[in-house]
Amino acid sequence: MARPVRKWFDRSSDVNPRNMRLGMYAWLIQRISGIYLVFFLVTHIGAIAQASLGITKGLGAQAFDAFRNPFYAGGPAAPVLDLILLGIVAFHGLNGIRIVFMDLGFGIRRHKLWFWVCMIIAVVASGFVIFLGLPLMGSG
Amino acid sequence: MMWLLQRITAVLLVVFLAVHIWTTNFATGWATLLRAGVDLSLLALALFHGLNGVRAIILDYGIGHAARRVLSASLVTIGFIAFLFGIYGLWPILFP
Repeated sequence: MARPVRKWFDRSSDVNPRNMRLGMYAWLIQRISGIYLVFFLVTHIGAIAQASLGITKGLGAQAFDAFRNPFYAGGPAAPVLDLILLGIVAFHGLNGIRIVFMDLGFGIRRHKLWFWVCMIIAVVASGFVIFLGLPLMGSG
Repeated sequence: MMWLLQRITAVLLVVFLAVHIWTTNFATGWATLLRAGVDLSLLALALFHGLNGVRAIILDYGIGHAARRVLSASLVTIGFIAFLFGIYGLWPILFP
C-alpha cells in the first residue's frame, strides 16, 4: 500500500535522496517522464484532431487549449516546449532501451556505464533532430 | 504478458518515433503512404504503452483486486475511444 507522502522522506525510504543512487534516479525520472508523455499524447491527439477538423473556436476549444498548454503549446512558447519534449522523449526512449537490454540480461554489471552511454546517444540523437528540424519546430 | 508487450511496444515506439519525426516534416511522394502507416501504428502503440504504463504505476502502489479490474477496464475503454478519435482526427491529414 502506498505510504503517506511524509514517509517518503524517512531515513529508510527508497526515495529519500540520501538513499538514492543513479539507478533509482533513472527509475524515478523514467516514471515522471512517462506520466508527462501520457499527458502529451492525449493533448497531441486532441490538438491534431482539432487542427484537422477545424475546431478552433468555442468554449470546448478554449478549455482544451488551457489544458494542453503545459504539454503542447501554440504560439511563441511552442519551440521551447518542443525542445523540452524532445529531451524528455530522448531520455525516456534511450533509458527504456537500456532497461530492455538489462531485462534480457545484457549490461547489468556495467549498468551505470550503459546509462551514460544511452544518455550520450540521446543527446546526439536530439542534436540531430534539432539540426534537421529546428526551423520546423512549433509548426505542428 | 503485459510486461512483455510493454517491452515490445517500447522498442517499436523508438523506431517508429524516429520515422514519424522525419515523415511529419519531410515526407513527399511515396513517403506520404509510409507516413500514414507509421502514424496510425504509432497511435495504437503509444496509447497501449502509455496507458499500460499508467496501469503499472498505479498497481505499484497496491490497489485491491476489484479496483484493479475497474482500473484495467477503464484504461482499455479510454484507450479504445482515444484510438478511434485519433483515427477520426488523423484521417483528413493523412488522406487529404
